[in-house]
Formats: sequence, C-alpha cells, structure tokens
Amino acid sequence: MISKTKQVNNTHEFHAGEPVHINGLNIVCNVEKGLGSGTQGKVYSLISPDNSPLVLKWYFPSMATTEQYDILKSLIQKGSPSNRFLWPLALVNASKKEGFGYVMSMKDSRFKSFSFWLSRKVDPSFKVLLTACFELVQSFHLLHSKGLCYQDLSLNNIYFDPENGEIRIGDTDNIVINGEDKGNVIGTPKFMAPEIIVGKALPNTQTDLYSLAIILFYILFLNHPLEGKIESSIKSLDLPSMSKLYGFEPLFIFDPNNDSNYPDPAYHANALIFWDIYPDFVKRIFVRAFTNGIKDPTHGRVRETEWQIALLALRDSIYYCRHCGSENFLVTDSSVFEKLKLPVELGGINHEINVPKQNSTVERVQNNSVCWNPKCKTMNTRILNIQIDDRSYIALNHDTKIFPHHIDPDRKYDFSSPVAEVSRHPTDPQVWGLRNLSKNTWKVGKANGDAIEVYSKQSFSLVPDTQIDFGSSKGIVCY
Amino acid sequence: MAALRVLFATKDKWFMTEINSAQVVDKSIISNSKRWLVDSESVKGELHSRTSYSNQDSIQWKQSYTSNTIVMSVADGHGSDIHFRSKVGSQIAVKTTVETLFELFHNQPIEINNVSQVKDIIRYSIPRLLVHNWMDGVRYHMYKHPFSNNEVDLILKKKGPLILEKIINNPKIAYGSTLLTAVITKNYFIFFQLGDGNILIVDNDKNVRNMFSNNNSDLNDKSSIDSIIHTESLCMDDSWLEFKTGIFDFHALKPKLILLSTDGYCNSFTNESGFLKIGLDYLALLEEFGYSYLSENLYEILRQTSREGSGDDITLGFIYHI
Ligand SMILES: Nc1ncnc2c1ncn2[C@@H]1O[C@H](COP(=O)(O)OP(=O)(O)OP(=O)(O)O)[C@@H](O)[C@H]1O
Ligand SMILES: [Mg+2]
Ligand SMILES: [Zn+2]
Repeated sequence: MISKTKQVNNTHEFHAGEPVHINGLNIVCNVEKGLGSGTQGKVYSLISPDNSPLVLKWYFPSMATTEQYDILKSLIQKGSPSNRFLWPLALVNASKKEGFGYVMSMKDSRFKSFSFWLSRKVDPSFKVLLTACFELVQSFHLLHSKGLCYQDLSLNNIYFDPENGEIRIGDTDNIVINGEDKGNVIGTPKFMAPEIIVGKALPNTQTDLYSLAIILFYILFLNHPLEGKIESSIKSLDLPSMSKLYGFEPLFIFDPNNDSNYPDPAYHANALIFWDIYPDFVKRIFVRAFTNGIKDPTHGRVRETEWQIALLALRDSIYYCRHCGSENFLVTDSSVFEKLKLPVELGGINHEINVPKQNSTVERVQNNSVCWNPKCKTMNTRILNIQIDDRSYIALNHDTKIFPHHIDPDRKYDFSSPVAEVSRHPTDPQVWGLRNLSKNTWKVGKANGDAIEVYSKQSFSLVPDTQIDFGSSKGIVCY
Repeated sequence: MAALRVLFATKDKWFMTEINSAQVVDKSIISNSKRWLVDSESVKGELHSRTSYSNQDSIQWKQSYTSNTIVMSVADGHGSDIHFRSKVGSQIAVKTTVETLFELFHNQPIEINNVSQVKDIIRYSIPRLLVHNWMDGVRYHMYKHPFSNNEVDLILKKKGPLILEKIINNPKIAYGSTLLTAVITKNYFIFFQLGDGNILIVDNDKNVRNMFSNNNSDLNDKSSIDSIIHTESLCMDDSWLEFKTGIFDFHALKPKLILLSTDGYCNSFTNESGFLKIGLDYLALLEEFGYSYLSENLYEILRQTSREGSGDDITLGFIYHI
C-alpha cells in the first residue's frame, strides 16, 4: 500500500471519470480533472454525490511515505481547526494505484495566493490586507490551541480573497504535532525560525510565532524582514550563506541598534516605502518581533493576541485621504497608541525600543497627517474618529462599521454583525451621522450638553465632543 | 510523417527528400549513455536582416557529465530603439544565469527530499539573485563601454531629450531583455520565466504543456508597469517580482522533451495550439531520425519558420530524454 519505490507506468495517476472510493466519508466520487501538481503530488477536482466541492491530492510515489500517511491519519482524527484550513478530510487508498492520497475541500477561485500580492498582480486595500493578516493570526491561534504547528509555511500556500480579506490555508499536510520530530526538516526555509535552521529546535508553537511574524511582515511590507543589504551583497547563492542569513546570523533590516542589514534601496525599496506609511506602534511591534523575538525564542516573541490587538487597531485607524482617496493611518494627537497607556507587550511605548527613522521628514509627515501617496501629499486635518473608553479609537469614514468587538469587552473579535454604521443625513449629505444597528438604546450626550436617546435604526450627528453610552462602553467623538 | 506537417508544411523540396532518405538510426543516440541530449540554434529574422539590428536572442546551456544537471537559458533582447544594447543584455543574461544556477544546483545538489525545504529560496531568492548578477554584468559593461556619442545622438534624434535622460540615468534600460531558464537535476525540474517566450514540455504520453501559458494561470496577468519599457524585462525595477517559477518532481512532468524558445517562434503561428504542435513534431523528429539529424537541420528549420512566420529572430533550445 505505501510504497517508496519503482514507478510502474501511471499507476499513480487518475484519469477523468475514474471512480474514487472515499471510505472515510462513505462516498464514491469521480475524478473531474487534474488541477495541478508540484513537488509532492497531483491534485484533482472531484465530482461528488452531493456536489460538495472536493479535491483529491495523490502523492507521487517518492512522497507517499509512511511518515506522511501517519501525519494525515492524525490530522484527520484531530479535525480542522476552522473552515479557513484546507484540511485533510479522509485518506484515500485505491487498490490499483500506487501510494495514497487524501481528500480536502476545494479552494474557491476567488482566493489568490499571497505571492500574487507580492508581485502586485492583485491590488487589495490595506483594510483587506489587515483583515487577512488578522485571520491568519486567528487561524494560527486555533491551530496552536489544538497542539499542532506548521512545519513549514510559505506565501504560496496561503490564499486570500482580494475583495474582503477572507483567507484559506493550504498545504496542511505539512502540519505536525507540537514538538514532535518528523525527521525531515533540513535546508533553509525562509519562513522558519532560526533555532530550527541551526538545528537547536523542532517545530513548536514558539517557532510558529516567528514564522507568523515573518509572514505578517512580508504581507505588510512586501519584503522579507531579514533581507537587506547583507542579502543584496550575496553574489553566489549557496546554502551556507542562506543558512547564515536566516538561521545563524539573522539581523532585522530595521534593527534600531544595528543598521548593517538596512534595506538596499535598489533591491528592497518596498520595505523603505512601507516603513514610512505605518504608524509607530506597528513598527515597534515588528522591531520587537525581530530583535527580542530572535534573541529570546522562548519569551521574546510576539504572541497571537498581541498581533490581533495591533492589527485590529491598525485597521481601525484607516482613513481615506480627502484629496486622492488613498488609505492612510490616523495618528491623532489626542488618541495615539501612546496615550492609550498600552502595556509594552501590546505595542505600547518602550523607550528602549526606538523606531529607526530614515530622515526627519518622515516624522513630520506622520505628525502632520500628510497623505503618503507620493503623487498627492495632501495634508489631512480634522479626521473624524471615535474613541472608545481607553481601549481603542476608530477613524470614522463614510463606510465605517462598528462591531461588538469595539464596544463590548466581553465580545472581543466578534465581527459577526455591526452594531453601528456611519450614515449620511437624508437631506444634507455633508452631515454625517452614526446609525444604531443594535437592539439597544444609546444614551448620547451632545456637545452642547443636551442628552438624547438613540433607538435602534436611528442616527445622531457626528459632532466632536459628542459622548455615547453604548451600555457596555462609552465613546467620544473627536477630530 | 503526419506529425511533421507543421514544421514542414511549406518546406523546400530538398529538405523533404533529405528526410525520406535519412538513416533512421542515429549513432550518437546508441553510443550515448547520458540521459539527456541537448542542443540549440538561433537564427536572425528576416525583419532584422532588413534593418541594421543583429539577432537580439541569446542562448546558453551547460550540462554536467557527472551529476545529470542541466541549466539552459534563453534571452530575447527587446531590440527596439531605447533598448539599443539589448543584444549585449541578452548575452549577459544567459551567461550569468547559467553560471549562477549551475554553481548552485551542480555544485551543491539539492535532492527531491529536501527541495520542498528550499522552495521559497527558489521562488523568491533566486530571481533576485539572477537580476542582481545581470545588473552587475550590465554595470561592468557600461563601465568598459560608456554610451558612445553615436548612441546618444541616435536616441536623441529618435526619442527626444526626455527619454535620453531616462536612459542615461538608468542605463540598464538600454540592455533590456527577457529570460527563460530550465534547470534539470536528477529528480526535479525548475523553470524560471521573465517576459515573453515559451517553455514547452512534451511528456511520455505525448501531452504538450506550455509551462507558463497565460490562459492556464489563475489570473490574467495584469501588467504592473507604466513606463517606457514595453514588456516584462530584466531592466525593469523590481523585475524579480515578475518572475514566474515552477518547481516539479520528475513524476509531475515525466518529460520526454523540453523546448525553450523565444517568442519569435510562437509568433510564427496564428494561434497557440498551432504552436504547441511543434512539441510533437520535434519529438517525432528525434524519435524517427535522431539527435544529430535534428542538430544538423535545426538551423534550417528555424530559418524557414521565421521567413514564413513572424520574420523575427527565433531561438530554440531542446533537452531530450532518451
Ligand atoms: N484544496 C485545493 N483546491 C483547489 N486547488 C488546489 C487545492 N490544493 C491544491 N490545489 C492546487 O493544486 C496544485 C498543486 O497543489 P499543492 O501545492 O498541494 O502541490 P504540491 O505538490 O504540494 O506543490 P508545492 O510543493 O509546490 O506546494 C496547485 O496548483 C494548487 O493551487
Ligand atoms: Mg504544496
Ligand atoms: Zn492623498
């Protein structure tokens, strides 16, 4: 059944129409067509009795190892952490075929690999990217809580919908049990923690946190966090020099205390451009991830919950430039992260970790809310936002929605249905309001001291200094 | 002979008779114990013959006699006015690419059981390194041969001062070229492509696959360039991001024949399916008449194809599994 050897003609391939018995699901499907193949196996779409979209991945003979079979068995037993994973549903053996395969859900074509974003073949908004990043962190969190971790992950195997940021995670057949030795970790994967590359650790939750940080940085800065001047000085790519870069001597390109791996403008322009766009609290958390996170693998890494808070705060700070419509990040004097008294671990100020600046204009740009778009550079002032307790603030755009996550400390990460949305006054579109989409009645204190009640479906005008009691928290409208 | 119709539909008489009288058995195949036979040819198009341009294509390959590693690279210099040094650009491209990749894959063999661990290096680091080394080569050439007054005057006359300034500030534009590369090792295959051109794979079952054909990709490639450069090219800023990369296990392809060609070849056909047939034609030629027969006649085949088709330069490299 499990064979590592000899290649008899085509006994590991399926042709269209061929029946596939999936005992684990108690169904028989038919092969529709081949979808593609790579280094591990060939993937076929299936026609299933109830039309559920399924695919079959069948391993090449050399890849159909007992280790792989056992991994699949335990993954199927454990079950998928969430529908974001293209998880193995059932093993498949076929009497006349060499090796084995497994079935999983089909990935819809609306999902594009992040490598498309890297080459800018898709053009998602920051909001979408941050949603996708948040979903990734959440998925890692779920996976870890099942005692599982990735052995190796790459931008090619994670997919997102460029319209809304929903994600899918492929290549789940490489997922392993936390800390277990599967014995096939060699080479120099770009997303692997240094301690694995140097042979000091096996994949575990802590090494996964490092991979997660790399992927988030890659997505938000379009550059690998360790690929700066040192990389671009390498002329002949050999594995030892790669192991040095990613494993033995990893150095963050924006390390505040060592600029010897600073981005090379000829090769790492993206990193420089994006470094200027994001607010300081984001840079700070990445600096921590790639300084302390490298030095101290057990305690120094940024945890999933910390990423979640930072990514959502960043998403909430998006506003559209008045002139060109580009998404910018709000850093107001009244409600910067600094002022929210966040603990250092959550991205709050730590004066030991300073954020390297390219030049003094950068600072000016940020403080003045100048649009980052080089063709625009409009100064945006008086950007409407709402500050909720001392926890968060949300820039208020024409399309902003507020969720239980924002107003109810007991319903963190609940984005299931909005409780409020920005609305326009029916007769005067210049006047913006906030509509109550919840069932609760809000108590609103107007700037002039009047108090009113805002019932479900009603709106009130968004005037600075207006206070709203949502019940579970209080908000204040600011400029 | 049916399979040869595309190649020979309108070929010279002598060429047809030559085929009919050819010895079917080729000595070089019998005596050759290597698994792969490799050769290439490049012809100057009629269009270019009429103008002052030379053949802008370059091809180079290197085969190891000990490790079964083959690296083949084809580059097509853009050849238009602003890319006035693209012949040199394409030569630098194939030379640096073959050297860089041969060094990596021959001298430090990566086997299939660990290729998956270096997938990201192959996808994301190698393209940048190839561009890097190409740019170094271009810089060195510029240093040795700064733009001549002649070259400068010509651009000024044809394109105006703005374009001239752009090229002087960014001389690599003058060297603009595409790049197609195949790396073959004992157990796996790696392909890189930047810009136009085709990599065809004919497998044991005579299926022809166009490696990076646009219509089987997930997206319609939206060009992300707005500049004076007309195509995906080594001379673009960030060009490594535009590389298409494929990494395959031997079983994923089961290749019998691998062809690399510049787009002059594909453009000689009215549609892609017409072009794809050349895969079967070449395989039939190799199987019926042998490697040295094809090697001897490849130049003439390409010359005819160009004359009756695109009129463009055509370069073809083949890697045949015996
Ligand atoms: N669940 C799925 N739904 C739809 N298509 C899929 C699915 N899983 C894989 N594919 C497609 O099948 C092809 C091969 O998949 P996969 O990445 O699993 O192969 P692989 O052998 O692991 O290759 P690689 O080593 O390059 O990742 C890819 O084109 C991929 O997009
Ligand atoms: Mg895969
Ligand atoms: Zn703007």
